[in-house]
Amino acid sequence: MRCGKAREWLSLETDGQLPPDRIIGLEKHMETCGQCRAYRADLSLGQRMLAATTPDLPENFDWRLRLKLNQALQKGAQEIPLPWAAPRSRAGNWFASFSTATAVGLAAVLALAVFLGPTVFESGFRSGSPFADSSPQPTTELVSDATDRLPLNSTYMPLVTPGRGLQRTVSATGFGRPVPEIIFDLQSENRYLRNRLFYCEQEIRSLKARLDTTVDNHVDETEDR
Amino acid sequence: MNLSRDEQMPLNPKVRPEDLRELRDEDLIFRVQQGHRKAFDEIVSRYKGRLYSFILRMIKDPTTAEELTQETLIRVYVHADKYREIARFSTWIFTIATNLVRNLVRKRSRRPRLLSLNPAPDEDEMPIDPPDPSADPSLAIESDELGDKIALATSRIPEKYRIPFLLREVEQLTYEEIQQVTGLKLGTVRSRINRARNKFRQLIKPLLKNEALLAELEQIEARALEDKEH
Repeated sequence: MRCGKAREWLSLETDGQLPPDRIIGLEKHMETCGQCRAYRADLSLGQRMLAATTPDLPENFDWRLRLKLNQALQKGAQEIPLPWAAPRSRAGNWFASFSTATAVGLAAVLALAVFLGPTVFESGFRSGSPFADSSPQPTTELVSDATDRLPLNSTYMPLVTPGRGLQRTVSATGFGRPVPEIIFDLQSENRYLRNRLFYCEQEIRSLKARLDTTVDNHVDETEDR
Repeated sequence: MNLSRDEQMPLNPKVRPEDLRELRDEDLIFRVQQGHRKAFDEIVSRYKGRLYSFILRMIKDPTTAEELTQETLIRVYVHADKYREIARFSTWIFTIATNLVRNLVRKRSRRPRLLSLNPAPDEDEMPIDPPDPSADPSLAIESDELGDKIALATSRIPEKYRIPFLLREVEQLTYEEIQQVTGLKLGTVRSRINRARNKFRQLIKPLLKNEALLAELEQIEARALEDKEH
């Protein structure tokens, strides 16, 4: 056996990865090769040196970790965008977000066209132009009284004002207006809903953090008793 | 004390810290998922030293190593819900740490080097005895301490060998776990550990004949044994 192969096997043997039949071959080589025996001894000494020189943690590590953790949790809970602010977009992927929003908008318009098409086109053709009908179309109102989010206690201040939940009129009118305007409206609606979603996610995180604290306090109180 | 999922539910908020010490890492992270912050404290106490040691040996800078250790632990807490018991917890946490280290190393290597606006000097202006470009002043610092010398030797192992080497030699992860952490094939893990050991042995060879350092090693080991007994 060559020393190169023997050393490869030595490494595996050190980690208990060498099959038993190869261990016998390796040991035979070790009996006759002083250099490989020295190699094995060096490896073992190197491992001892590594184990003995574990660096000590810096002072106040725990304190700084706690501080950073709290900052991270607070940041997560407080980073709430203004509902009217446009979502952040990086310069690099503006095209992707723009094309996605446009595609979503167009898909929504097409879906509406398929759904409402017969009535609109019927009335439109009757009057000569599909877009000539200026009578108000039905509007869909999504109203939520937020009764599913009950306050935990009297001091609980929800980040999302319950009354404002989804109390917003989603306009389904549109065939009286130019298509770009409808797309723009749908994009705005999309942005608004994404903002609301972000709000709600933040609130969940905040509530989770409050729950952590409450559980910890409860445990502490129970232990004190 | 290995508890099954069913035995753990519902979590008892009255669990004492000494009980937490008996739990497996996987049970602890499960409790963290349920919002038990003291379980996280136990994870921190188990892993902070190991993570710091691993990261410091990878990047050499103590301040950055501390920051990355903290970042790893914060990510464990914030993303605890993403842990699934398909891998051991130690594999998961070291994967996070390894990724952070790799990102940092990649970022450093991408950092543009400063270029001088002055034109390159003529051959005549070149110093007669130019400095050896291979000599890294940061590595030339002489220290008598064993820890410094070992840290220096470790830092000279190429990065791609150093990660599996440290995960094996220092963290005692199995080959399969190292495979999961690094995303390498099992054969590659084996060969990289072997090469790193070869390289490390070459680097520490002068130390192995140094009687003073060997005596220091024995002292450190004796002290560690005493601490363990106490």
